[in-house]
Amino acid sequence: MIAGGHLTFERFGQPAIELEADYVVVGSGAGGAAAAAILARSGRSVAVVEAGPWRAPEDYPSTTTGTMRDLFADWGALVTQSRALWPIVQASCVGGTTVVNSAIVVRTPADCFDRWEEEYGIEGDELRDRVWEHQDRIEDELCAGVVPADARGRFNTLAMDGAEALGWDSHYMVRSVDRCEGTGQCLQGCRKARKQSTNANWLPEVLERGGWVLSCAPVDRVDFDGSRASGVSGRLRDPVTHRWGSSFRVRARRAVLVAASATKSPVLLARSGLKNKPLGTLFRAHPGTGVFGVYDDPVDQNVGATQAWASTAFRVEPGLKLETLAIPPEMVAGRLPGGGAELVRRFAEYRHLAMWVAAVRAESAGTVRPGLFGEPVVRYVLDAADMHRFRQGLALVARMHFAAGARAVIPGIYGLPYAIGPDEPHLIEEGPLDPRAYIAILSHLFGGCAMSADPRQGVCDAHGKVYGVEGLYVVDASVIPTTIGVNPQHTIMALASVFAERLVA
Amino acid sequence: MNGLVRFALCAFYPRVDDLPGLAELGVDDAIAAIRRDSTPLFWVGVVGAAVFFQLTPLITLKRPVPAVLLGGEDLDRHAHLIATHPSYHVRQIIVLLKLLAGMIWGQSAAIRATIALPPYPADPGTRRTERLVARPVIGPRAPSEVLVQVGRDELARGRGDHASRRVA
Repeated sequence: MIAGGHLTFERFGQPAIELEADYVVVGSGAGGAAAAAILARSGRSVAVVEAGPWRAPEDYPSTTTGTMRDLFADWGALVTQSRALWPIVQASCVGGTTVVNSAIVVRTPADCFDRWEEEYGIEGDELRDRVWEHQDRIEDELCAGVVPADARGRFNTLAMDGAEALGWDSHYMVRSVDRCEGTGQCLQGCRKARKQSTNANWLPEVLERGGWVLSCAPVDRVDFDGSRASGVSGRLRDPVTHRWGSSFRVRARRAVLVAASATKSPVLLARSGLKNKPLGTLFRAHPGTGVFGVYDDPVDQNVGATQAWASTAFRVEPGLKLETLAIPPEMVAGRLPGGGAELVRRFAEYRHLAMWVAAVRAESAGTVRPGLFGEPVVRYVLDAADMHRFRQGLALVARMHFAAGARAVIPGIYGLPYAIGPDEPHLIEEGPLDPRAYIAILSHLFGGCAMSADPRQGVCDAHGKVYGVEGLYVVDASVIPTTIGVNPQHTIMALASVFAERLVA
Repeated sequence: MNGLVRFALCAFYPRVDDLPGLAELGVDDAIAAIRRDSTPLFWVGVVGAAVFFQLTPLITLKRPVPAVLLGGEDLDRHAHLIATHPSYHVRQIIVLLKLLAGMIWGQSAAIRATIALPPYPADPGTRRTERLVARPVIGPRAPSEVLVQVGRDELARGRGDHASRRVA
């Protein structure tokens, strides 16, 4: 038996890894790490198995190409395979997407629990109370706090100016960042180590408590002993050459918890032979895209926090979230319309650009299935009602830019002029409803292994237990059956904590 | 193959006035690194898009010649027209090239200098292999003077703690 610790790909030909633990957790992001910490604190032995490498803040890249290489799977090439090819943003490293997001803390809105009860039979009041209780704890443990005034930068304060001028309810974000310095590097991983990604707190804690973390260890399948999940197996992978190395097998004495993400968890269960009909269905997202405002004075969007301002004033009706999002200049260069000298001339205004984002609380649902080589194939497209909302959100952002003093707005919508003036946001509202006219991304993902009281509707019950087998749980965003209209990390962490706590009660 | 990719990438970011073009910014090393570090599928996609770029003056300029034979102004028009082509599929093939070119160009020290940003430090490319990975140590907090000034203005406007974590 190997003592607890971090195990990883070291060299080709290294001995196969064989471990046994009470609980095996697949995935180390918001859900997996939160569950692993609860299990480890209860005195049980835990093994966390993560497909990507473990990179600490001193290992984080600075450039976008470095980020794609070091923190994403396959250079971030996962896209929806539907009418529009929209990128799906998911990190692949120890800590998962908590390494590259902005650690935004928003409590699960009460109406989500009501809806889960009405539509999926999940008893709402009890779950809500437990989730909020854990959210109290998580906020304390992960240093949740308002972005400090001296970390915001003009990019974010301008957004507040715009919202105030329009009389919209908005706020500076609460994030799990320990006294942010505003280096504007959330998307590349915080090299200052201030962002409380799970690789900086809960996963080291698992090691301190005698648990294991396997990195560079993509799980090929969940193993079963009859109808009981008995562990996981796969092969280590060299993160540099992407070649496969020695095998690993981790046996679970009590249970396997899957937290591989809304795209990977359903695919892993399908690859493992699970036949539940709803598996891979109810995949949902908050698709979002940005609108640039052009200002007379420099904005310098990469000076200050990557994200610090948000408004949930439109969350319920029409179903939108507005927020700031500073992307690095090299991404702006690729994001602006055009090519050649015209594109370079457009980029020359970079210091005067601010990009704010609208994300839709979309009702559209898609599917996630294994592809030919076992990879996730995501089919997802917004229906007309969601596209109306999407367009409306971008028009709201455009109006906010003008209210904040922008001289022009760059909508980035195919078929519209490159830039529009203060009297023209209606062009966005009247813009195309074809998703192919927009450059959007999917960053908040839900479903695929949805929970429901009815096994014909969901893959898991209200405690994350997978129907039809024993000892198998799902503890990530894939259990969430609807969109929630706010940043989901806090909800994922709390739900995973509630499910894990019940296992060791 | 690298030369084919180089040609297409550089066409999207030529020199304009004081902004240097991609061809002047160490693009060969960057392409070699991407070829080495990316997955075979990704690289095949990049090469395929570069071939597509060569063949498509026919649909942008109505000229049946490869892009390599276009003069400077025509090549520039081709790059712009192919990136904004009415066909979504055409745009999607080209977007891979354009994003890659934009990344290499925009993260170069020369371009960052023109937008008042310091050069990026080198990407370490390292990872943890030790048995016990410790929690990271946080250094003293030192926001930049620009941010401190914005912070002072915010406090003067009564926006010190203007937040809400509950939405319902």
